[in-house]
Amino acid sequence: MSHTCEETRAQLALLLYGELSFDEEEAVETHLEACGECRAALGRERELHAAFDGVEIEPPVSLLRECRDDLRGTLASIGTSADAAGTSARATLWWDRFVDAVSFRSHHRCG
Amino acid sequence: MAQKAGLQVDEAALIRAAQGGDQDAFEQLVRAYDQSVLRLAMNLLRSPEDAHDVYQEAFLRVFRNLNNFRFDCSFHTWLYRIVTNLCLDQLRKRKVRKEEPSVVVTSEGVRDRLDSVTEEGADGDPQRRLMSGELRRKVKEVLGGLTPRERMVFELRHYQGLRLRKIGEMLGTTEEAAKNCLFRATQKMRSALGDFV
Repeated sequence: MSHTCEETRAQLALLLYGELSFDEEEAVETHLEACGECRAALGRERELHAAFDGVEIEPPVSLLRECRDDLRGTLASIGTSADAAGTSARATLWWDRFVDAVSFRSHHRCG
Repeated sequence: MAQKAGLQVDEAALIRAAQGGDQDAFEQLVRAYDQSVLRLAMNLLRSPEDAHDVYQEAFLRVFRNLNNFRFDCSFHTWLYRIVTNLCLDQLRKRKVRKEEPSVVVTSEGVRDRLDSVTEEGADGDPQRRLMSGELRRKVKEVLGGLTPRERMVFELRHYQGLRLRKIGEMLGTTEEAAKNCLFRATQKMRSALGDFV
C-alpha cells in the first residue's frame, strides 16, 4: 500500500541510508513516482546528507603517529614490568627452594 | 567473497597469535583498525586530546582482554564495543559539564574543526561560501544537541557507513532500536537545518 506524503517524508532519510525493509521501500517508491512534492523533498534530503559529509574530518597523520608511538611505549612498559615481575617471581621461587632444601637438610641432621 | 573469507582466516590467525603473546601479530591487528578507531573518536569527540585518550584506552583494553575474546562475534564488533563505550562515556560526561570541544590539529596549529573543512562546492562564490560556512556552524550546533546515543548511531551510520544491524550489535541493542535512534537524529537535524538546504 502506498504511503501518505507525511509517512513518505518521515522515511526519506532511512531510504537514502538503504535501511528500509523491502515493503517499506516499495511503499515509499510508489508514492514518490506519483508525488512531485515528495520527490523535491527527497532532493532536499540528499542536499542535507551532502552537508553532513562536508563536516567529516580526517585525523591528522601526526596524531595517528603520536597515538601509535604512545601505545607502543605503554605496551613496552607493561612488558618490562611483566618481565620484572617474572624475574622477581623466579627469584622468590629459587630462594624458597633453597630455604626448603636447607631446612630439609638441617631437619634430617637434627633427626 | 573468497577474498573476504581469506581476510577473516588471516585475522583469526593473527588474533590467535596475539593471544599467544606474539607482539607483532598484536601490532598488525592494531594497524588494521586504528585509523578508523581514531577517526570515529575524533569525529565524535572533536578533540584531538580526547581522541588520543580513547585510542590508548581502547587498545590497552584489547591487549588486556584479548584472551577473553572467544570469536563469538567479529573482532571489529568486539573492538567497536569497547571504543563506542569509551566515547559514550566521554559524551555523557560532557553533557553533564555542558562542554563541547571542537578543535583540530592542523599544520597551522589548533583550529576549530569546522573551519578546517574544505568548502566543497563554494567555488569562490562569496554568497555560497557564506551560506556554506553558516551551514557548517549550524550542522555543528545540531550535532552537539543530539543525545550521546543519537550522536553515536548517526556517526556510525553516516560517517562510518555501518549497517544498523551491526550498530545494534555493537551498542548492545536491537537493529530496531538503532533504527529509531537514527530516525530521531535525522528528524532533529532536518527540522533544525531545513532552511539551509
